[in-house]
Amino acid sequence: MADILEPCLSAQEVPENVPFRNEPAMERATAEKDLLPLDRELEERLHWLIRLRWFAGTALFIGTWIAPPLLSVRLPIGPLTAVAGAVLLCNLFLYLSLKSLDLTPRRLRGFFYLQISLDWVAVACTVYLTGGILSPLTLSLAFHLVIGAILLSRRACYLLSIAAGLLPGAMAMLTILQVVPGPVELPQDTGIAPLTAVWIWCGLTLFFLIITYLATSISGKLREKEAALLESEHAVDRAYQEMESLYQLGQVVNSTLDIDEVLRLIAEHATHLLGGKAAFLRLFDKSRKQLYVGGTYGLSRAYIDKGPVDVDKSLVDLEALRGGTIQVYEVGDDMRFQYREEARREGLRSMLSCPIRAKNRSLGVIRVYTAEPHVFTEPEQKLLLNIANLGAVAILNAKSYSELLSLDHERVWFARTTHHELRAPLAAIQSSLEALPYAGPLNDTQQDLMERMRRRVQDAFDTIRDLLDLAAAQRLDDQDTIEPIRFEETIRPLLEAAREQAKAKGLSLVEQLDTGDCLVQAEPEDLRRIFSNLLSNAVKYTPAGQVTIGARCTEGWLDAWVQDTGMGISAIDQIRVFRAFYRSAAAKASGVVGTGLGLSIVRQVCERLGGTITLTSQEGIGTRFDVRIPLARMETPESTVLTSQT
Amino acid sequence: MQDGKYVILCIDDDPDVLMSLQIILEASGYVVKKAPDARAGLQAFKDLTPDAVIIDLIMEEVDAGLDLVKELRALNSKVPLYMLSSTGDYLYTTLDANALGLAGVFQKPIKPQVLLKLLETKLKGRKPRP
Repeated sequence: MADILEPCLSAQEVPENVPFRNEPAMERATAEKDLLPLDRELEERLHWLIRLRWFAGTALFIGTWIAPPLLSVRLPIGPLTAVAGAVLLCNLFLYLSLKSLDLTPRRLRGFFYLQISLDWVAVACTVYLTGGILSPLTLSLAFHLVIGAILLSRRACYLLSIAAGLLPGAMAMLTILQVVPGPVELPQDTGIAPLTAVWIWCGLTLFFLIITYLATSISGKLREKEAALLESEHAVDRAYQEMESLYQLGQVVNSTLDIDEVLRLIAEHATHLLGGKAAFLRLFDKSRKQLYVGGTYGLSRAYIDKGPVDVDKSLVDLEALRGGTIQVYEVGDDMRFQYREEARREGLRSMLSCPIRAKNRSLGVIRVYTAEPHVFTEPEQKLLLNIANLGAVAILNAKSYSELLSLDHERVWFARTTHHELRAPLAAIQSSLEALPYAGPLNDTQQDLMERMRRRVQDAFDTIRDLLDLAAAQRLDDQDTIEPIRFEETIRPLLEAAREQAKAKGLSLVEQLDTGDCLVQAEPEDLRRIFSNLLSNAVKYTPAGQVTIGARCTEGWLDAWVQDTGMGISAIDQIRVFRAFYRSAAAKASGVVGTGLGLSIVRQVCERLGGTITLTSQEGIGTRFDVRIPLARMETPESTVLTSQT
Repeated sequence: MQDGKYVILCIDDDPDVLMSLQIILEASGYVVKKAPDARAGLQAFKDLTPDAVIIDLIMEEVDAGLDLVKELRALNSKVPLYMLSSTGDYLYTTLDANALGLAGVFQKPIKPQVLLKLLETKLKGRKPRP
């Protein structure tokens, strides 16, 4: 019977046989232990048959007792009641077994055959007891043919219909030949003519065949439709999962600009998405015509380090670099493969490879390996291409960023070196000028000339310092790696210098600092750049009055301000003062020397620290600069707390 | 001490700065010994045992001044060592004068009053070396 049920099963299994590769291999393995859709249907039908059998058994029981008085027929009540009882009893057994059994597909099918067999025994007994071939109950065999058409293959259904025809025929023949006695209560049946029996038998068989034809035609169509529906449902599901996975991959690989991390993530995701064992991503070195290791997943160190791949020797990679998608069924045996023995040792079987392309050039090649031989389907090939395309964008981004970063480091290094080289001769000149009076007395003109030289050298010093500050202000370093520092402690030396400057001009410096132990994520030099510029500007452009510096910590922020009672900044200049090298006409006219870089530096440092700077000013009354920089975040196991102590 | 005067050893690879130091210090009553690099400075230190040493932070090699300070400190822990540095030098921002055992750090360009005051305070009452 097993082979009768099988064709029908495999017909419905089609969607399941299409490898559902975008599930991780592990998930697939567990999914196979679960019931297939057809088995689930079989289970439902078994319950349905049991429900029908309650009715059939009860109907037989009632019919046995009410048919004789109602239809004036004589039936063997005792045996028929026994059959009805047996049917109900068997059904109870089947019902309880189905409920308590652990349902594997094998058991389900066994159960189905058992039920069908028991039904046929019951039907044969009932037909025999109610008149053999003349019994109207022979027609009840048609019900079983319809049920069979729903669950069995077409071939099995026709076999069943022939069996249904043979059963009453054989019964009639055996009765006529008096091999078995006719039911005693039915004397009319004993006198049946052989020819009549043959005609009835032919009619019944034809009836069964027609029923089978109709039922199997209808159920066949339904099965086709169901399979198509299931297939498209799987296709939609697969497409959705693919889309979702690609979206996630996109998010993951774009979440970092570390090129090694990006490559590793692509390899890892490609392995999982294609349900493979490992992935190897190589980048193309055009000048050497070699592929070097980019990112890997699931491969041993020995395999990764086996050596560079010469593109000319590896036909697979050559083809992939030219834009093709290549699959190899057994990598250990394929002559196009450069490292066959190593791949065999690593347990790699089938491989799918495609190029990583961006802007019409191949950046490298990605390979996904399986642990078992596998033929990659077209959707799988497309999926790998999509992963590679997504990866290409992330790789380009990360590469550009790392190039930018190294350029930036070079720029800062250049600025520092130049700074030292420019300052050294100026320092020597200035030192010599300072030493001049110690070499002998100077006359007034010499003294005046020396003062002028000293001033001009100092201007040059200021410009050099500001240029270095500007270079440092614009650097791209990762702010998170900087150690937090105490704000007030760090700016204290600046205040002393500013107080000296203010005192020299007859101004007072007022402190309104209330920041306690507040920490900011900045380098001491960053704070110097901000506050020494603001304080020195305030002192320089304030002829009389006072300069105030204040600061306090609020939720997550350090708010600081520098206020003066100076000349103020006109509305139009308030927009321009943060530009590099800009000096307002009023500032120039005031006779104060400056490079015009100070505020530009301050703004850039503030912004790099994740903060802001704003100014409010009124000409002739004064100016106030407000600096806002984020407080350092201290990571604790439970939560992130701010370091505000106030 | 030489002829009743304190001996100051100045080590700098910039001859102009050395000359300025010499003029300022000699005019203020010190004896100045000059060394143009770290190696000569070390030798002069051993030969002269000066009363104070002024060392340039950045000489022919980037951290030659710092290495020299450590060597001199190892040789003699009593002689005050001063460092000459330029404001804004990136090494200066990480310079920990106390940890290195420096008596002070001077900014270039040299400010004679500051330099002389510091030296005077440090050396006043110091017993002359034999």
